[in-house]
Amino acid sequence: MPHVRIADLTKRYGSIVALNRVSLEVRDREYLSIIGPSGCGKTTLIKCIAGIIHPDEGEISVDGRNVDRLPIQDRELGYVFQEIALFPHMNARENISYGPTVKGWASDKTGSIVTELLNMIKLSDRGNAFPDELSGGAQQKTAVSRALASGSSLLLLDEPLGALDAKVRAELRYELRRFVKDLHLTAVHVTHDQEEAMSISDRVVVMRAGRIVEVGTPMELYLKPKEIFTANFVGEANFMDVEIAEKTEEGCILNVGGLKLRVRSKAIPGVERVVAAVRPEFISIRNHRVHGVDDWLGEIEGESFTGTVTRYDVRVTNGEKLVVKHPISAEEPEFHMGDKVNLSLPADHILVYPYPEAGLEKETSVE
Amino acid sequence: MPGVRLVQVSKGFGRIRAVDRVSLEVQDGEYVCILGPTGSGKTTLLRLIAGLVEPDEGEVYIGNRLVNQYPPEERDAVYVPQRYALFPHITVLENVAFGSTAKGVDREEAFENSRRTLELVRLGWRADAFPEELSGGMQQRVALARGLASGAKLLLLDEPLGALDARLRVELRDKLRKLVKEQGLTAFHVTHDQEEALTVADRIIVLREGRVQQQGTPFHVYRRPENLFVANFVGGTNFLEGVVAGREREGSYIRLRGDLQVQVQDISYLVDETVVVAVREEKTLIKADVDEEPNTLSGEVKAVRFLGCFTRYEVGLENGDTVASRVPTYTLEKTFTAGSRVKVGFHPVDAMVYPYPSLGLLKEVEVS
Repeated sequence: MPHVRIADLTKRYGSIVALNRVSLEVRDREYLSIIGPSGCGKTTLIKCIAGIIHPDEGEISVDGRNVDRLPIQDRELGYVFQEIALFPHMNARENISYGPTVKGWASDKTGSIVTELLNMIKLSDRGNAFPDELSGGAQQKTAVSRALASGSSLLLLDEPLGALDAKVRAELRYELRRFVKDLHLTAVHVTHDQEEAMSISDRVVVMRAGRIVEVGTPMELYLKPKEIFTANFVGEANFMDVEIAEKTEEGCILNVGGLKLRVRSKAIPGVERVVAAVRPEFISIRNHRVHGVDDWLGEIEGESFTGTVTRYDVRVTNGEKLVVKHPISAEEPEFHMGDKVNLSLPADHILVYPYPEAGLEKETSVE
Repeated sequence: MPGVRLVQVSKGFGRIRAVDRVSLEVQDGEYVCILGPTGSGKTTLLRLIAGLVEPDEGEVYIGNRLVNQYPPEERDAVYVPQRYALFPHITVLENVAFGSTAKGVDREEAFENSRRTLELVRLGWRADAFPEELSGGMQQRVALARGLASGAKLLLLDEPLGALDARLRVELRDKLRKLVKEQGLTAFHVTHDQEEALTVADRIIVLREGRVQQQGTPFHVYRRPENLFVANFVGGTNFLEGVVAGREREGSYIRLRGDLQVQVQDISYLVDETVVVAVREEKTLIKADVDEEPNTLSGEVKAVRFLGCFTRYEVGLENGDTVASRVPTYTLEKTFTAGSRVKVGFHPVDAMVYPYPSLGLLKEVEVS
């Protein structure tokens, strides 16, 4: 029952602090993903759990047992990384049975496990195929099976889908989750694809510059991110530097360059200057006024088609430039460059943060 | 002026035809995305235009000039490969300036221009670093900057954003397009990311097994896919197999497995013909209760996938088929969970109808 506890982990490379006192608990049978910009320490962290990198400080325990001194082969975990690393001269079946064979398991026991795993990854008819005869997706599923064949219940996935096409990746990610749930495993999955993390994880860890910014369910991180960085990194958001004009029963009224913006969020005591954030798809865009709604007027300065939605850049009369995502309902795009439009921003979905000390640009930077 | 024209160009490696009789004509100043799965010939196509591989057959024109016999350096094109090769012993800035200084551009001017290009890919602050000090994604951006700073009018970019974090990719793709447009360049941008292609391209070329499946504006390719492969590869799509049961002036009726029936606007198929009805996931509506609209099918939610902007429901229908419905998260008045009984449906106008493929549906839409 792998429950992983990471306490105050620090790892330095010269003057660079790759991990800075990172603490994290991975729950038993949880599917946990780690995301963050390149260089944030996510790969270092998973490699520390695997035992490939040794931290300078801190400790890691699995089920209450300190594993700091255990070498990788004794940690009883499966590790899968981006570069598909199957043995090219062995077929799928031989690749999967590699671990059990090395451990000296009885061949009938190994055989039945391998057969079950091949069934699970829907490759039971391809057991005799060599890696170069399998598609990239099938190879990576074989690599996952090989990692699991020795009976590990902790699965570490380091960009497991990174080398695959977007379309294949989107299908395989659900299969990965299914394996983990069906076999009652605990999984830690590092990815640079936020949507991948959101769609399959029980919880997601957001990292930046060697530290954990925030941990939450996908829904929490998307709808109620606690940090500005998360609001920007997970999904997209418009940010406005504003002042609190008035505190009301339901929340407060913000002054955005002369325009009023009602938000449900409670005012933060002692804070006057705040950042208001709103997701592009939460803004409604219309070509007419609706009675009783605080509309903002703007002009479309840019449009781009993305398939499911159209993105508009709208310059509001107060000078703010907002990105609006609008689902395409009609045959043709409904709005065009230069159109005058009415925007309304939903009070319930506006996030309010104290203005960051480092400045807004620095705080949302993905470098 | 670097318009590009290919006439019946083919290139084989051993038994494999990597590029198979490809013809296309790209205007000067166009931003073209080449989209297709691994092994579809995208990279070979770029390398043929760059002059790094010779075609077995066909003609390659750049700016109205037949360039089959010209070496890469005389094609006014720069090729930025997916595996970026930077010179390890010179700085990032020197790497970026390399192409221009090698061509004899004034050193100071080349460095000034390279610095600006580095700013554009957000690496101005790393100008004096050496390549090995940078992450893979940063190195890729340096390689891209080197291509952009080379002064070539035709950019041939192989997965230029592939190694980048998703968030940065979105930011840089817009900048890349803007730069190409501002400087009046022509760009070919290979990608397997359909959203990237839809967003930045003036024109998309979809490749499969070396052949052009479709080319057109993003809107056209997305809304009017010419075949099942394109319908599947670009966008998320549900496929329902059926037989034309009736045909009237305003539409046709398609009988699905399990005696379910749906209505489509398309009337170009004959009664008894076997067809595939394709409906985009975002045009597949999901509701809790029955209504009078056509094409309402009952089912049970099998899985819920939260994607951020959208939530995706996988619904098992009574006839055993599975369809997915993609709903903007913010419009969800009521959310469904696995096991919820629901109705799914679509408007007849949103159904795209294709003849049933001779190799079977799965084979036809297969990506890998």
